Amino acid sequence: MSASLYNPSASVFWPLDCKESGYAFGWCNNNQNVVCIVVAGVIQLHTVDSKLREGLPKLLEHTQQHTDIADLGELQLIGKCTFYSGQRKGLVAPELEIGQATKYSIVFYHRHQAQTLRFYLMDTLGLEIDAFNVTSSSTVRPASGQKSSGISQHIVNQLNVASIINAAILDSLSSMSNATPSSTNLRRTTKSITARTSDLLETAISISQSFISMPIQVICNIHVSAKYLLKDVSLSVQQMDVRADQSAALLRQMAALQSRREGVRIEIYSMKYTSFFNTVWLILNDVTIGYAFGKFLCENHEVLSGMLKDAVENSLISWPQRALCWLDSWPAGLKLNTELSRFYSGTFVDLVDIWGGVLRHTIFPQLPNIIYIFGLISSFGALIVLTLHIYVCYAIAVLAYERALWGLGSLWRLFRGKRFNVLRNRTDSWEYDIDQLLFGTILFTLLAFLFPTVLAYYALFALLRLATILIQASLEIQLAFMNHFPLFALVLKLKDPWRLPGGLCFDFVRVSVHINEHEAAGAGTDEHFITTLIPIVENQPVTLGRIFFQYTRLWTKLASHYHPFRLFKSLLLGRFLVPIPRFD
Amino acid sequence: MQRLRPLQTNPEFSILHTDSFHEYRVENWHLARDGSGTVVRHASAWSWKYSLFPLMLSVSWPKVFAGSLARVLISLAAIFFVWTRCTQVIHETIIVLPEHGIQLETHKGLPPLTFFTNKRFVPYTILRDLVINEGIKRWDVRYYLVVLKEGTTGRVALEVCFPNILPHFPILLQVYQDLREFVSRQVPSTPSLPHTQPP
Repeated sequence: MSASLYNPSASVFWPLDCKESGYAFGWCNNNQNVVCIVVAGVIQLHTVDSKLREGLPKLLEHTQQHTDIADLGELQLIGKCTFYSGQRKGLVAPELEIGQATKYSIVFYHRHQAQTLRFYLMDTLGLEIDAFNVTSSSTVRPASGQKSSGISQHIVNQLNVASIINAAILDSLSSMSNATPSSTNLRRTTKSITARTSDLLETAISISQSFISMPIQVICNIHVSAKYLLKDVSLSVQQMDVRADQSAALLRQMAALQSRREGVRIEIYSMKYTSFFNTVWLILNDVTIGYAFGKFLCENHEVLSGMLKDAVENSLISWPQRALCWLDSWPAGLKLNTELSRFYSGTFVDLVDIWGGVLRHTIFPQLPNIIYIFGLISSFGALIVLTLHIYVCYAIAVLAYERALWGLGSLWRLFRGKRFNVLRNRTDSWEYDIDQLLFGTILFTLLAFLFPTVLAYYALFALLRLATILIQASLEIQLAFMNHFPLFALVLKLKDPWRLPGGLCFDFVRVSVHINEHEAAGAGTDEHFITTLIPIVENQPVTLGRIFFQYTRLWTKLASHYHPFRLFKSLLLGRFLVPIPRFD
Repeated sequence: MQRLRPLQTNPEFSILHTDSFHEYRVENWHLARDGSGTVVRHASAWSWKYSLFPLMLSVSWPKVFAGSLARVLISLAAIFFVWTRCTQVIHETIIVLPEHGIQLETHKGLPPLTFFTNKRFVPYTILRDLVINEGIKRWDVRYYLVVLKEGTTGRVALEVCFPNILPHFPILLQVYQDLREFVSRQVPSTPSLPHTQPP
């Protein structure tokens, strides 16, 4: 390690598809003492005569004022470039004569057309964030104004607009030399792709929006009780609310996309485009599936109601009653306390019977109509209605179980001569009087012998409650996934990863560099070319983790609430099982 | 442009200097630690044992009922076997572009062919520091070289260099000393160490 490895030289970003000799123009970024040059394009020698050559700087300034890229730096003529390709196969590096620097190293970059919506990005941005809050300076910012002598967000912005600037300048040049006045073609190159269809869509959405938004707002905000709005309680109303919000956002996004005609910032436009179409796809998907499912329900409501009736009778009414009778008569050889068991099973069988009667006489006759209505508004509240009796029985059972458990624990401590200190939240030794001990022991014996019965009935309803909660959770998860599935981003990642950038990386290509005879003699070859490796700036597609980042967040929340260990512990301790709270 | 191997004890480490970049490569083999000089390879190329698997597959396939669970399991096992053989780490490199930044690469595939390359680029605007740290890996304590980078929110993230191979300390020290001058020149907030000659 004798010599320093660091030899500073100017780096020149050269577009990969540019192979003409001529005058290079672009941006010259002076950072610290090293220069970093971005070449936007090349004006060929034969298209300009000496008269135009003087007018070139003025032309560049004029173009710069026309667009909104003033913050990218001053567009200027860099110098002359020559390609000595001849009959050389493969990539050839240009030879440049630049005023400011004698030593330079070339880095290739891809200069994409504006219509392809491809761009570089220095660092990943969340795909779900509102693209409208992204300004050109909110991406990677160097700490406290420090500028690097190499690639940075500033340079990446220049790389992104290079193609547009190049097209604009070449157009102006051709119009100048042809002496025919023509308006700048910036507008044409940056015209939105979906011009006509978007107009149609916009009018459709705005009309529907104006009719529906007011009633929806009113419905969603009806107060069911003092604390809860209607949209907290019913899933279908919540869906309506979400869709209304999304269509309002769609209108705003479309307005912004339309106004893009004057701007040249590819990356912002592309991100807005992606998020807009993602939302459009989600809404279309939701409407289609909802309509199909609703139609299915409406057409088959008779058959479905018969099937539902049988299933509910079988599994929710008669099965719990049979199970309760089984528990009453020495289940699996366990001798439960006869009177307590008779009391429990009698109560619960009656409860189930009452609810079964309610279902049978009031709801089931209406079931075809109810299913028809569900087909129209697609609600999930049915599950809660059908299992209400299980909820009530579970509430009673868990009450008794928890009290019995706590009483047992406390009397056990008394048995051992200890007491639970509530102030310090720990167990301390304690001297009990003899009558306290005697009474406590009698109670303990009572509870201990009644406990298996309480446990047996609690176990049955706890398991039923657990099953209900899990089914409810899976329905909610399904709904949440459908609401936010990033299908557009996924398909785009497959089709054209350049449009979804997630960072940069460098690849290396073998390039022939022309050397003059002096150097060739020094290197000992007669060829005038040597091959070296030159870096190319490539785009790294965004990873699947970033696309699905909302899902990972949702998953961690769900996993922490429905963790099997936590559920098991709640069951054992007799805590009331609740599904995940929807708004916290 | 010649590949140097500066360390006698660790010939799997090689350096390449060119005009536009410097490459520090660690290949996925090492000399036996007992000093006998035998080469211990962690990524195995195609060997004759691999030819037995298609033989076993073709023998067992017609013996099992079509569409049964056994066929599904056999095909899953075959796919898993192919996948593990084709994603072995061949070599990991650090490529330093003197003006732009540091790129960490991992090449995976079936030796000697490379199928997948994972590249992480850290530009100098994000790079904060380069550190050698100790970490616990199962029952072992390993040294690792880590690049500190700071995102937009001010949150510092770590990028481990050579994350799969985790070479031994002499290699890391060599890379650290070479990279020190790039990091200290480009990132003015880090103190620049005096350039010392090796003893």
